Amino acid sequence: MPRYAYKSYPYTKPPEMTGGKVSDAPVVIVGAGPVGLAAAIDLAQHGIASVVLDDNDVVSVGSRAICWAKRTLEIFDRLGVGERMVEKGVTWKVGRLFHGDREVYAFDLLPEPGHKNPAFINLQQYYVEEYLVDRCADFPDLIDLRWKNRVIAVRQSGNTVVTFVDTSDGTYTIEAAYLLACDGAKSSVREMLGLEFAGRVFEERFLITDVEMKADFPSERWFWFEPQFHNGQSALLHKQPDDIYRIDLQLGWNADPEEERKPENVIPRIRAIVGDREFEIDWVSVYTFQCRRLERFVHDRVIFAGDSAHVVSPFGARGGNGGIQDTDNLCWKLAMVLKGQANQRLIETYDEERTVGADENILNSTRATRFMTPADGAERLFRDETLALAETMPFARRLINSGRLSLPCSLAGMSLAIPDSENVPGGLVPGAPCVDAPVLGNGKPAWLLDRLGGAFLQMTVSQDTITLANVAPDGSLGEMRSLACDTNNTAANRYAPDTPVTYLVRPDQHIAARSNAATQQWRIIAMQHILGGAA
Amino acid sequence: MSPDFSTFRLGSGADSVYESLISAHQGLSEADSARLNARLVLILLNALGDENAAQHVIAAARQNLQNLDNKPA
Ligand SMILES: Cc1cc2nc3c(=O)[nH]c(=O)nc-3n(C[C@H](O)[C@H](O)[C@H](O)COP(=O)(O)OP(=O)(O)OC[C@H]3O[C@@H](n4cnc5c(N)ncnc54)[C@H](O)[C@@H]3O)c2cc1C
Repeated sequence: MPRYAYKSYPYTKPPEMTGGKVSDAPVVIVGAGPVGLAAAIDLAQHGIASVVLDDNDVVSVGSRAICWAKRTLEIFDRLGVGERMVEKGVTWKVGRLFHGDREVYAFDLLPEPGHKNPAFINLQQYYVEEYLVDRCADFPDLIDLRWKNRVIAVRQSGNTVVTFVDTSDGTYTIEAAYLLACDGAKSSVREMLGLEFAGRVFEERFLITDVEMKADFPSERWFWFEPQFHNGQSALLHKQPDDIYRIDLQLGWNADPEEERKPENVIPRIRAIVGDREFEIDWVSVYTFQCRRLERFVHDRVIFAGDSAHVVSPFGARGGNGGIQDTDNLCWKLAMVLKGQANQRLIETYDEERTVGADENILNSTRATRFMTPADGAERLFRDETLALAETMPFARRLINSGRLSLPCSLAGMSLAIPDSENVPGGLVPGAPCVDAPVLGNGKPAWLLDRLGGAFLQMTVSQDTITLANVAPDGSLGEMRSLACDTNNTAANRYAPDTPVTYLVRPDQHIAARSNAATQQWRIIAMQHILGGAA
Repeated sequence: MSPDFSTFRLGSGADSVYESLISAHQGLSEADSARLNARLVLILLNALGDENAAQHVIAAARQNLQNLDNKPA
């Protein structure tokens, strides 16, 4: 299998500089990482044009993110790229924990059948970005992807954002209604706005490497505390496509990153894990991890998403997965505001919902990182004794924290989630993400989430049938379509275990409201609440 | 029958409790940290409120240490 062949995407002189038609896209996106690309596609699917500016001309150098969670794959499905990713990726759901050379605990992340997507796939970030770039090409009139276009300044005035862009041909400007800053952890837009990126650095260094080798390690996540092969620290092994394995090794704070990156130092460390197999180093880097976030993600017409808004340590796979949930949350809101269907306040709910998501990710990543890198004294004592107790007492195994892996964020209790007006029996609560289920469409097996589409939707689930209809901004219903539950009535069990329940589903597949007596009036009030920005 | 102390009972609050536990030690001297642990144990034994159960957890905790001491070098 050849290693990933980076191709560089062509730079073309922007029309603003050639006297051609200048961009009238309402949205400028800074950064063509996974988050910026997903945003462009999502907006395009809502009919909104964008210009995407990236200072580079290749996909992610080094694989970086590898674990993509089920919720992300569901979003990628909605964006039309999920299946390609799952096909290429390594599907896994079992994690194993070792202490020394003994296995202490194995966990299954998707113990329940009846979901289209697996708990996780491992797929190198460069593939994810490549597939997203390919998908952008399906929207030539709506996505204007500009490589080697570096944003150097941003100016907001009134209802417009002026973006200053530097290219090899000189500098030009674009005006737009909104700018999405998806320019990563070192966000230059964040700097231009002078925003504080508060949080903490973990005083620890990790060697992260991708190794190419033929091996028959299973498709599982293996995590070691104090393995014999790595002198009392921690280690992680993960399988990726193309015979590539991710190996993370904790090095300690005093390690010298320059020295540790050198092949003569990396090779013996890998040799200690993989034994006598032939292997080649594909990529190696030494990281210090941080957890930080912006206080607010929305700054008038400049909106932050992904790593520019928040960074986490990678144990838990919450960085990229969190960023994709950002755009999933934002794009429909932005589209409806731009189309004049919703009050601008709706965008504020992105801030509310995703800062909570970011806090959840930071909290979990911080706890995992602390467990892995305990401070001397009581913290280390408790960590070590948890591992020791885990040998004989099963409860302690559950306290071992090698990363609580990314789960979908619930928006329950936030301003857009409409509380039940009557006592609705069972099912999903407002704010929860929709849960997948096998269904039949025209008698053929299908998946519920694939059938939801990307608009507001009314969904009534009863014992054997699911009826769906799009909901217009004024609350009126579109054409009814129906699906049948599978023979186990999985959808009914998940959404309407007792009596039929009607749900109002948001374009990002979160439950907005539910009722067991849905009326036109109920829909109108709910839509007004949401599109008014819940004010 | 010895009571069951090995089943996980903290549910989704486990990580939060663990975090509070280690955070409670932050900024304490080694001696004060040990005092905190001693107090915590006494309070928990009282919360357990059952002599039989208390004897069992003490033995279980000690047991584990013996295992470690006896481990071949
Ligand atoms: C070792 C490691 C392992 C990880 N593992 C996982 C994992 O398993 N799962 C997971 O979900 N996440 C993981 N992450 C995190 C994940 O890589 C990031 O969260 C993700 O890349 C964020 O995407 P983004 O689009 O926000 O930013 P980026 O991917 O950083 O993209 C930002 C883009 O903006 C461009 N840019 C920057 N400044 C400018 C400018 N001024 N003008 C124009 N363009 C600009 C950059 O060139 C870049 O293309 C990992 C990270 C690391 C480092």
